[in-house]
Amino acid sequence: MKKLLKVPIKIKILVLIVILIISIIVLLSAMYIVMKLNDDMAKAEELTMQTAKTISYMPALHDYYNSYKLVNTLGNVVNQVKKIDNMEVFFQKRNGMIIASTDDEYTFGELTIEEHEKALIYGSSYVMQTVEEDKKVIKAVAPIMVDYGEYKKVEGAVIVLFEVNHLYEAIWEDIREILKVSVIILFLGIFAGYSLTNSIRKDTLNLEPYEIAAMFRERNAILHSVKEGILSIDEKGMITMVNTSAAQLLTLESGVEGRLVEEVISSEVMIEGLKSCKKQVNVEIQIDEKAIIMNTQPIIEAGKRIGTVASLRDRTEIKRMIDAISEVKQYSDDLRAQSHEFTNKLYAILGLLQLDKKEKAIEFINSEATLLKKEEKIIFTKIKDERVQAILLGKLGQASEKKIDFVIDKESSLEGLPDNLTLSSLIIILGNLISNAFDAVKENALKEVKFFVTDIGDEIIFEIQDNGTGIAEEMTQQLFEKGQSSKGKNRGYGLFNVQVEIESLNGVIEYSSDEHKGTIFTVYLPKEEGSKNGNH
Amino acid sequence: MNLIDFKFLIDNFKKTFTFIYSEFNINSEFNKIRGVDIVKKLVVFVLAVLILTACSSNSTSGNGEYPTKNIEVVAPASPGGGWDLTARSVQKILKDNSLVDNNINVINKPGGGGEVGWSYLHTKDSHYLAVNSSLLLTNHFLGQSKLTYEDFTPLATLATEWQAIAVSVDAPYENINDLFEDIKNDPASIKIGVGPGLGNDDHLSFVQAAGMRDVAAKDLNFLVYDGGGGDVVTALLGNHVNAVTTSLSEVKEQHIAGKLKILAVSSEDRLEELEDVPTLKEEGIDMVFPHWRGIMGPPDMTEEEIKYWDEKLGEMVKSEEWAELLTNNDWDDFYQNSSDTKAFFDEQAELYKDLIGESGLVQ
Repeated sequence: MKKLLKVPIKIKILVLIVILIISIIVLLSAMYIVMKLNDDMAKAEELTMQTAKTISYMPALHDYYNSYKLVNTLGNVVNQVKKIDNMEVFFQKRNGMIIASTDDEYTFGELTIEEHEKALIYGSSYVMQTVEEDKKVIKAVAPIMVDYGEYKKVEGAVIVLFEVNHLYEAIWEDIREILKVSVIILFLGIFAGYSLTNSIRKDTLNLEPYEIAAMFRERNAILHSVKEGILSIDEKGMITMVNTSAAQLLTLESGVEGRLVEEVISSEVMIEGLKSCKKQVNVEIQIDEKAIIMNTQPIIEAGKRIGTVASLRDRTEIKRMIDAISEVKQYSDDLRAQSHEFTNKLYAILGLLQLDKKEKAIEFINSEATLLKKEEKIIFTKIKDERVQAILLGKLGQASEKKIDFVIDKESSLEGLPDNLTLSSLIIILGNLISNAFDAVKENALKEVKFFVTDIGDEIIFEIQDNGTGIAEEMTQQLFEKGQSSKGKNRGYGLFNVQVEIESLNGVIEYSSDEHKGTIFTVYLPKEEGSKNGNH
Repeated sequence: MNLIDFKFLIDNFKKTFTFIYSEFNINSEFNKIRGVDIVKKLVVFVLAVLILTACSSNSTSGNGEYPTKNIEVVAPASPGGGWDLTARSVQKILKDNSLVDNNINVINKPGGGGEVGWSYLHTKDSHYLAVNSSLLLTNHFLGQSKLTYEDFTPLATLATEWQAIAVSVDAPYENINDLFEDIKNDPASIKIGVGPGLGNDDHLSFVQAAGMRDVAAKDLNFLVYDGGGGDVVTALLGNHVNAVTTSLSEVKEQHIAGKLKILAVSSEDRLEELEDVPTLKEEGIDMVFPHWRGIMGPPDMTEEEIKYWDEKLGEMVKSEEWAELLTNNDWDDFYQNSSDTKAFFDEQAELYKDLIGESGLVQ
């Protein structure tokens, strides 16, 4: 079966055409033969009958009976009727004896004379199809009704035979003509089929239909395997294609193809974007709490939009990628800061040693060590979570480089964080808030940032305090909005991200600000997922 | 068809049509899968149309209002013959006794031994009738006609004449068997007069009788007289022929007058007015040969129409005028209603087939 399917379209069409034409020719010829044969048979019967009757009325024949049966007279009659094409004429006496015939070669031998009795006894004339000497014939019988003046008497019968073969020959002649024309038509058909297939092949880039089908299936597989959601609509907004990812992203049931986009998609922004004649780049749309980024490509033909293809990406995925990058960046920054700090200190020690001020050097090393130890001790003793430890250590280095006094509150305590609180969340929340605090104290003479954490009770509370200039009155409105920053362009995602992250953890963020004393950010995170509603 | 039926059919038609329409349009993409369904619906549709047309065609004929126009009685012969007389008598008696309200006309369609008139009737509606006789059957058996009695609706057999075989008074035959004895010995020497043509009842009755006496039909020496019965009798009286076969009415008077001798009649029993003439049966030739005439309609007449004529013609043959007609023409009452006539035709068809078959005609 598969092999049959792979027959080139050219052969398929040619075979079809040839079969069609041949069957039409056969059918029409058969119909023609049947109709013509019936028609001709009827005509031949009529003609044979007419001939028999006409001969039976021939005055010369009647003269034969009236003038004492001179054989000569009958001979004349026979000679006259000999000229009739394809017919043999017999003259029969009442007792059945054939007295004369045109059948000189004796083709029909002994006639079945019983068939003539209807004429001889009842004087009826009739025609029939019968067989004489194994030849199919039309036989017409007419009585010779001789008029003797007062009365008439049946003296014999005229029998006319017409061989049916003659009809077949005539029909065969016609069929030969039909066949000649048919062959021409057949060749025309083959030529037309050939041209048609060539034209089709031209349109299909010389691809066979099964190849096109294979490509189509391949394209479908590709579309469905792509991670990006792809959706296409036609000019009326009818969905023509949705791949698996798009269906997942938009939470569409199967079988939305063929439906209007308005029926299945709720987001008006998306519909507007899809129906726009302009290419849309990175449009953010919100569908069922899912942030999706859409890019569209309208298909324009002759200045008219005949369809649109849209690619869809889940923004949460992009965010995860950004987070991962920022995490790595933060670590490398912190490490760089720490190594820089150590290099500086090493230089200081090197200088003291070169100046031969051994005591000073020892004193410096001691003070540095205790200072580090003091902060580290708090970190390692009070805070049990390694992730928070790591973040705080990194920030300590950063603060040291920036000459900021980063103090971990002695009263801090943290036993361990719930699993849903991931490292990236912590980096986003703590990293951003601490960095912001560092930025806030940048201009101060006395740079002080305090960090406090506690997990007493149902919540984990982080508190970051700085002694910066506080938050300006006019900024408070949009503090957590995207793109709002006092730090310049392309910034301002910090607090927005922090808030999104905290909300996703069912937490709350609060702040209090004093124009000159500084700002305190307090984050409340529930310990368990179960206590989601506790803080709202 | 009444209005409710019609409305029902129209509704049905509409429903089917709308259904098919919707199938084709709305579900066009599922055509392949639902192809079978569509074929089903199409069949239903075609059936609905058929029922509709069938009902409407019934409505033209099935309303019981028959006849709705003039009745035409076809006499398949020229005016003056037995068929013409029968047709005109039927016309007159039905009208005079007010049996039929509609006008009745007689149309003469002569030719082909009835063939022309009957072919004409075959194409007409049920308001056309035609007079018939045994020629309706024999024409077909003799190869003269394609039409058979089964192509028509028999309505009634009306009357019959009887056949007679007569010889001249001084012929040496005491009875019919003497005649056949002579024929047997020398067929050519006995000339038998018949008219107006071969293959009629006069001819066939003699052939049948001869056959029963083992005389082959082809040996019989028939002289055909165009003028019919009258000429035949003249030929007998002039001793041009040795015997004649003809209708009883042609020879009855001459027999009574002693100018010729009727050897036998083809009736069942001896006839009242000819008590001295034996029947063929009595002479040991076991046959009864009526020369009947009847009336028939075109093919496919309805039950109601047949019943109508059974009533009317049944009434007609009881009338005095009809009795008078029979007496005047030496006909015997031979009335059979439509169903009896049908059976009679079947029986006659067998008889003629055998008869013509015996003479070697039907192969």
